[in-house]
Amino acid sequence: MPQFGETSEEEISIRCWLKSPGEEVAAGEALLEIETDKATLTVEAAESGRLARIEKPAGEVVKPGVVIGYLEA
Amino acid sequence: MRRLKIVEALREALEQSMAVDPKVFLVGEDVRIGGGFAVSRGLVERFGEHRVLDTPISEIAFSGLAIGAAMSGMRPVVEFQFGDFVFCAMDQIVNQAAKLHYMSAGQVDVPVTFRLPVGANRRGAQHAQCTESLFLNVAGLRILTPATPYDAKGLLIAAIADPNPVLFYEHKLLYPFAGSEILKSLDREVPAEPYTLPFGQAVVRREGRDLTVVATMLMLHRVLAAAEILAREGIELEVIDPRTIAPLDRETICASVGRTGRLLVVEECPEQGGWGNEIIASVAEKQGGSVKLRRLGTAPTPIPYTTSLENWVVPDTGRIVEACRAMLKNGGPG
Amino acid sequence: MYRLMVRIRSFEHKVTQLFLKGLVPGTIHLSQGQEAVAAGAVSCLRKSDRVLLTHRPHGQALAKGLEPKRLLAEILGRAEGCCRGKGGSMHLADLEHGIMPTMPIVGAGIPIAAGVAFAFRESGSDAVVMGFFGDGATNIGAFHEAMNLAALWKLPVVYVCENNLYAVSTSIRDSTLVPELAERARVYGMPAASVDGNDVEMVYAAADEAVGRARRGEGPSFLECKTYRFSGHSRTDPGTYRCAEEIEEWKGRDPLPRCRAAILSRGYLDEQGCRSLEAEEERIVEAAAAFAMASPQPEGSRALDDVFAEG
Repeated sequence: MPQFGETSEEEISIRCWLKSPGEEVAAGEALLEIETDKATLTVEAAESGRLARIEKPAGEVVKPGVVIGYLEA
Repeated sequence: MRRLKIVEALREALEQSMAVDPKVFLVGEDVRIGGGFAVSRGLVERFGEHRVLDTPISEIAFSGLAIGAAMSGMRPVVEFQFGDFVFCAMDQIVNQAAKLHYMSAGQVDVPVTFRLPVGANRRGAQHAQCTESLFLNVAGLRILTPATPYDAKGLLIAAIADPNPVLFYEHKLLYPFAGSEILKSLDREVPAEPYTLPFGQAVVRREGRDLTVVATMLMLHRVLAAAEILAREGIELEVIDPRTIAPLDRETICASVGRTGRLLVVEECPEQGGWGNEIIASVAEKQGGSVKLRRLGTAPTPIPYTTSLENWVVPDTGRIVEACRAMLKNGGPG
Repeated sequence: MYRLMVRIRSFEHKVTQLFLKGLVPGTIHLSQGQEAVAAGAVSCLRKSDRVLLTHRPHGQALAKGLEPKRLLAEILGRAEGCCRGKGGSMHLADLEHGIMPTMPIVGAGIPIAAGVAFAFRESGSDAVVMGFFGDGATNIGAFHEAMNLAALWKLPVVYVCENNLYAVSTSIRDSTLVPELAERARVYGMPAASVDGNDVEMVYAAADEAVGRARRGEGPSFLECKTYRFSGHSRTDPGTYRCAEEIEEWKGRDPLPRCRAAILSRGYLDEQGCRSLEAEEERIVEAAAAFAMASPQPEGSRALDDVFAEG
């Protein structure tokens, strides 16, 4: 989870994943939707690959730095 | 003895700095006719319009211009016609001048001197403040507060030569001060040649065993007058003039309080958040609970206009005397 | 100039990637979509000219010559960044390439740019200063004071306004009754022009004219460049205050494909040449990323350095 909030402590909600495990995603393509104190944002994939596993499903609230999923290049 | 009024000493400092270094220039409102208090009188005639610049009423613009010029090798001296007007340019001073050297990891210097005439003198709240306390809490600024002609000249020349941004305070009521028969410790020859004084070096204006009193500018003069009165009662004040509050000479003050066991700071600004707090806190950290500590500042009000009100708000010699007596009497804040 | 725009676009993309990987300590203000303003305007300048930039400085900084690896290391807050991690994305500086410390306080750099120009003029140099800011800055006091003073004193500064129609989420329509920003400079007696900021050649031509004027001692100019940022204001801003149609419309005016098409149609490069240039810029950015990621965080006590200059 990148630091989308104002601080490194601000927790971020995962609203929904836009890809399912096993699906391919291109770099820059929307991967999940999150919610901070300020706004709802779409997070794109940093690189292309296959979404291997979702660690934190929709509804989870995490701090920046926490692993939320695995992308297999 | 060569005595100069503070206004003359400052003018001489500017003149000599401008003569030695062609990069020094003055900028501000009405500086060609002498600025708010005649300090720059005569300089445009000697150095020309390129080096003494009148600006429109635009504190942000001319402060910013000075900062840009300073980063590019010039040495601007900015006059805020009244020190209260510095608030119009706070971003330029606090966010820019104070921080640019740091943020750029030393790639630029900002050798700008801002001159601020301050002090209550019957003009009302927005033309009366002593503003130095607020800047003490900003890393990256030098804050100079001279009380004598000798210090004023030496510190202004040093300020202009310093590679850092400097807030140079000039008390309006002290401009005509040239020395005193009574307050002899403020009386000193002003050398004709240029000279500089170090920052962060306080002067002990009067030695004494009973109570350390720290004050700057006009308050220093009043404290010394109070010291004369108290001496006749057998109370000996040790009076310290920091001369610069950033950097601040904590050693001299702490050493003095170590001997007297009592500290009073007299400042011409509201006690809450005043620079006196910094001195009290520094001494308290070093000397702990064994010393008596007190502040005396202006009342917690804006400075009122009329004489009776202004006199009530700003510490005068009488109130300083009372505060000292109280500290000696029951050993604590009166 | 196309090379510069490609470099900027690749760079901003790489910064996005690194941000998503959690490597950027703070937020970032990206300039995808605005590359033509940076490349076009800065290309008129000499190395000895100076630029004053803002919180969205990557494009202009790269165009002026800041090495991508030093910029990226600074964004990641590493010791080998151009400011040794002291400044970050918003407070860059590279005096060797004429990049004055960048200032994210909106408008603060406008009078400061005038001051740098003043110093050049007084020293007899014919160097000029180019100050960049956005549409939002045309409302703040510093802008008005500085426009007035720079024009009055005929200072050698060119002010380039990137009008991307928004200041964070506030539309220009909600900020001023005079959205033709060139008017706001003309009113101070300053020559002003307004151009399509996504046409790099137009930007270059207009900026070059203004720079020439300044260099000849004829005073300042204002150049409004109409453009658009593809991303939100910062990485924490999704930009949802803008409608999808507007974003799509501007994406259709993307300065990079327009420039590329012009290059191909005029035969400056062929398709192979373009691809080769683009790949080369990718490699430069990749190398910059590798350098930046390998650079250490500065030692904590280095925070005490540079509060004051030694006299």
